[in-house]
Amino acid sequence: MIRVAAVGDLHVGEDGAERWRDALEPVSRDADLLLLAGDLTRVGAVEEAPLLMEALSRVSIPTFAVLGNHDYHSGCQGELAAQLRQRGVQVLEGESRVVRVNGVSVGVAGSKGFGGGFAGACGSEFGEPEMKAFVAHTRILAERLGAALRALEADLRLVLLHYAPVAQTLEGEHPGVHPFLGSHLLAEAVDGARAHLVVHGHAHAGSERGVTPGGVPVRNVAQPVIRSAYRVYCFSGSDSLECASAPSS
Amino acid sequence: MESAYLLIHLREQLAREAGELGIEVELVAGRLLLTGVVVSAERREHAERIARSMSNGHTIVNEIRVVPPAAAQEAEHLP
Repeated sequence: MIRVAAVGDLHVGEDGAERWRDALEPVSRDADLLLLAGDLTRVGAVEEAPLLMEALSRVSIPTFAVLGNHDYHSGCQGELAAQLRQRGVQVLEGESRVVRVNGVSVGVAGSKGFGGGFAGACGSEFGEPEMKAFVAHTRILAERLGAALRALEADLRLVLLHYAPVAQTLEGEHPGVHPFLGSHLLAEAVDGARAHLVVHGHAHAGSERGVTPGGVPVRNVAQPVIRSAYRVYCFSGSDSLECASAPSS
Repeated sequence: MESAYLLIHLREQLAREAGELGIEVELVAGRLLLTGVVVSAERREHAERIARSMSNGHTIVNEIRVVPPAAAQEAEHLP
């Protein structure tokens, strides 16, 4: 049994570090690894980094993170990631890491992801440079995520995002903002490889459960959605680990 | 300011000044209604202060809910 804890959108700031430290304390007993789905800070200020470290100070299981849009807001995302890495957190952007848990290799591929929308309401790389740049950013991150996932060799394959890969987990959000909350390109990247679970955050008013067109379960673990400090997803042992989705080639 | 613009500019200010992107603002019977979820009472009050500073005389109705990180719920078993 592998127990994967996940939460996004902690938004740790000057008023929340101790509360999060206490709320995350049981996670090392409840789970074998922890996934942090971005928006770890309120505005990504360098002053928030020590507060985030305080919030994570009682977590002793392997921890993986992607950054979110809030973590980019102050332009200190590099410093924030460096401090997290120093603390032992694996910060992922278009890359993957493997950890061994109870005899099972668990791989996590991660990316912040970005927006662009879903079937029926998508942006295209057409027109002004700003519009092209918007959609290209998502495409490039999705391509890197797909490559990282295809290269990943692990029994249990997890995908960690901040932005949503499917519209189902946005249910509850105003449909007009869906293009700012995620992109189908992220789901396509996952479905082009194999995975057991995708977790993401970002959509505070969304819903917890969805699935990619290729059949990979998607969970929105934004804290306001799960209404708890983290959710735990359990997978049975390596003998019965079967992946949804197969390589399209 | 026209109320349609007031709501847009207030949402923008909540994002820029407080980093709050999840707060809804609307005018209901002439009153400025704030809804959404934040993690602490301090952030709820901060949002109300911003709204008050831009309220154009509208009464503020703050219905933002505080949802702190509670204990984890039961685990979900995936195949």
